[in-house]
This record gives sequence, structure tokens and C-alpha cells, in this order.
Amino acid sequence: MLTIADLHCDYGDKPVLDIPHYEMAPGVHGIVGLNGAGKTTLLNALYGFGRNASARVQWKGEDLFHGNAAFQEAESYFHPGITGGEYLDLFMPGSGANDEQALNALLEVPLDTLISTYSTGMKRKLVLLGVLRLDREVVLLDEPVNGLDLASVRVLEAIIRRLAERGRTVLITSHVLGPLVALCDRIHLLEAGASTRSFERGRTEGLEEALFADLDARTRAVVARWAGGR
Amino acid sequence: MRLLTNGQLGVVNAPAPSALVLLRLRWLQLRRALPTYGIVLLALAVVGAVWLLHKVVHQDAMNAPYIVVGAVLMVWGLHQRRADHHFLRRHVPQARVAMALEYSALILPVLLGLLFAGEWTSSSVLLVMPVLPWSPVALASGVRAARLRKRIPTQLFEWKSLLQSTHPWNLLLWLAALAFCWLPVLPMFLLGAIALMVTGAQEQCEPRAMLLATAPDARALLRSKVFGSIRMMVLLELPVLIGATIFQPDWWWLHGLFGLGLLVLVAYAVLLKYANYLPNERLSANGANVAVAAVFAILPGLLVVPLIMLLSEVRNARENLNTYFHAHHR
Repeated sequence: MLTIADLHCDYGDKPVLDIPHYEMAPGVHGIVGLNGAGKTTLLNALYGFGRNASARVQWKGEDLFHGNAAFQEAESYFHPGITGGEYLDLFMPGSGANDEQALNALLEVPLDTLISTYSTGMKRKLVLLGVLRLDREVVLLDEPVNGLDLASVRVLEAIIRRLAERGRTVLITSHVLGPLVALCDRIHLLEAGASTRSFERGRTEGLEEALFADLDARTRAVVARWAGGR
Repeated sequence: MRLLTNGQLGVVNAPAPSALVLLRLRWLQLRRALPTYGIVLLALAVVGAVWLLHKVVHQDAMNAPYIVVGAVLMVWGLHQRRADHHFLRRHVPQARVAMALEYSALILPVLLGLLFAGEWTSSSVLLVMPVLPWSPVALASGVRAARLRKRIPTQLFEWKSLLQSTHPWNLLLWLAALAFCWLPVLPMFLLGAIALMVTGAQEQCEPRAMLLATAPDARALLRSKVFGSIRMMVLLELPVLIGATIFQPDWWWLHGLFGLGLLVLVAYAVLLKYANYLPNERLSANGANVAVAAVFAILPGLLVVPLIMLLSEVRNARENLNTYFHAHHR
């Protein structure tokens, strides 16, 4: 069980996240919310990257850290002048090591060439291979489908399902609802820095309404005013 | 420069015999790059080159084989390095024939020069030119010193990055230091230049994911980075210093102190990087500190200054890295 307690984050006077207590069972968890809801900030805070965040995050009674969790950040950065293979070599295989070479036959990342020549999608896939190679209990994926082609998204979905079957806890943020609804055991709605509701697999009716209710109302009003002025 | 009119540009879209498409393209590029009188001057220059070639071969027939081999290697090099192989094969039906015609046009002045000089045998070698497009092409991956970088430990990716940006000049510099180790000062100077390149490679910070993947904690990371870099530096220094000491045995202590100074300098650059580490940032300001340390490191007797600088950064580096490894802000 992943336990989050007293999670607070603020940028100056502006509170961004405030989650007093939350628990997540092993499986695939989707975090959805509009821009600025705090999805990336939440994952950063869980992994200990949030500069302005404080939290007690535990996995099976132990603090969550890079020894039992792996994190694919939303932005991909690399040291210049190295190849994909040299990057991947840094990630020591975990105990139940995944065969990322076999996976790469599907993802088709050219490991022998310089990362600087990669497309955005290839860079995302390389980071994913690194994360999978670590084989951690908790896997945090921030916007993993960004920049991926349709085929790679399908491969990613299969990988995430397999991770869940192996008892891993996977947290995914995305602003694209479709893959999350199909993939996640539970989807958590993040609004104004707090998890307001969660939806179980197969019972996600009302998710879109809950997510877009305020936006839809504001959009209708603005569009009506805009159209009225013409 | 006079640009082409729309009518002239229409030539590009007009259906061209596929085998001639590259020649037409080069002609268009030439027309765009040069005004008419420029093309006339270029043609005159080519005629002059043919005449010069003919004269050179006529005076000494031994020059002909060298010219032929040079021409073949030049065109072979162009063929190997051209970036449009994939594009041509996908979009030009007779790509290889088109390339063969292009190379034939390129080699034509050389062929004419040899033929005018009566060098039939040598010029017949140039007939290999049209076959070149059918030879295998080793498409370059852009990775420099591929074999050498495999010998560098995984966690020392800064060294691999250095190879990528400086190879083969760094290797030539080192070979020059080794070759001139019989001279009194030059090998030390060249080793110093290599050490400064190594310290420069320590300015770029890796992303957090790479930092955390390199070692389980700050202490282990610093140990592997510092001692790994020192080991690499020893491998670079030792042959040159031993060679220099063989030729200047009285200077053994000077060579020893200099080698030690460079090791301290490189270790200091590594520690300074992690003392100021910020994910993905380039720490250009570190260069000034390293320059100060370098001045003292190369002066015998003042080695203690960079040593103190180094020791003062050990704690800073560990504390800074701990914020990333242990996330103390929780």
C-alpha cells in the first residue's frame, strides 16, 4: 500500500497541493486534472523532487525513495554527447530485471546512436526503458504518452498492464483521458491541489462531467458572449 | 546574386530523366550560387586546372598514379559521407545511375588532364568511378571513438561526452605529448591542455535521473566519480611522464609533482561540479575556480593550494548531493 500523509506544496503564497491522507493499493492509478491542477507537482513531491513540497510518503511501511521507486519525468533531459545505450547502462537492473533489449525490439530506440539525434518520442521511450530496467515496486509516469506514436502507446499500455500483474503500483498522469480509462484500476481526480474524487475501473461515468463541469460552464458563457458580439 | 525566375525554377518540377536528375540539380544550384560571369570564370578555372594537370603529368609521369588514387579516394569519401543516401534511394528511381553520372562529371577534368598527357593506363583506373554507387556504404552513426569509449566506465559519461566533442584532436594531442616526451617542457604543456579539457567536461550537469542511477548515495557517487576520473587521468599521464623522465632523469621530481598536480586539478573539478550541482545546468562559473586551481597546480611547491580547495569542496559536494539522494525537504 502506498500511503501519502501531510502532503503540502506551495509556490510562495499560492498553495498548490494539500493532501492530508491518501492510500493507493497496488495496481494502476491514473491522476487526471486540468492544467495547473498539480499532477506533475504531485509526482515530484512523491519522489522527493518537489523543492517546495513536504510529505510523508511510504511504501509498505518504508519511506518512498529512488531505491523502491522509479520516476519518468514529463521532460526528458540527457547529458550531451552520449548514446542511448550508454544512458541505459547507467540503470542497474533490479532484482527481477526486465529484459529491456527484448522490449526495445518493439519500441525501436536506436541505442547505438547519439541521443541528441533522437526525436521527442524516442527520448521518451529511452527514459521509459531506463525506468523499467530499474524494476522498482512503485513506478511514477508523468505524461508517458506525450510524444509517442500510436504503436508505442499500445506497447506502453501492455507494459503497464504487465507491471500491474506483477504487483507493482503504477501512477500515471495524463491530460488524455482515453488511455487512462482503458488502463487504470482507479482514476483520481485532482482539483485545486487536492484529490476530490476517485473512480474505479468500469465505473468512470461522471468522470468527464466532474473534470470539465466548471470549464464547460465557463466556455459556454464566453463563447455565447463572443458569438453575441458578432 | 541573380535569382532564378519562376520559369527557370519550373525545370525542377518538369519531368526529368531520372538518371540525370542529380546533374540537373547541381546545375541549378550552381546557377543560384553564381552569376553568369561567375560560371564563366569557374569554367575557365576548370580548363586551367585540366591544363595544369596535363602539364604536371607530362613533366613527370610518376605523378599520374598519385593523382588517380587521390581522385578515387576523394570521390569514394564523398560517396561514403553524403547525407542523402536514404532520400535518393526512396525518391529517385535510378538513384545509383544518377550518382554514377554525378561522380563521372566530377572526375571528368582529371580524366581529361590525364588523357591529354597520354596517360591511358592510369586514366583507365578512373573508369571504376561509375561503379562506386554500387559499393557498400557504412552509414555513420555520428558516434566518435566508438571503441575507445567502450573502455570508459559507465558512470564516467563526462569522459565519453568529452571524446564525442574533441575526438580525434584529444588523441592527437596525447600522441604528440608521447612523441615529444624527449623535449623538456612540451609534453607537460600538452598534458596540461588535456587536463583542462577534462575539467571543462565536468561543467555540464546530468539530469536527476542519471545522477540517481549512477550510485546509491552521495558518498558512493563521489567516490566512483573522483577515483574513476583519477584512474583515467593516471592512464593518460603515466606513459608521457615515464617517457619524459627517461629522457630527463634529473627532473623526476618535477614530473611527479606536475602529474600529481593534474590529478588534484581533475579531482577538484569533479567535486566542484557536485558541490554546485543543479540538474541539467551548465556550471560555466566553475571554470574560473578551476583556472585558479590550475595555476597553483602546475607550480611546484604550491600544490597545497588546490589540495586545500579540493578538500574544502568534499563536504559541500556531499551536502549538496544529499538533497537529491535523500530528499531532506520531506
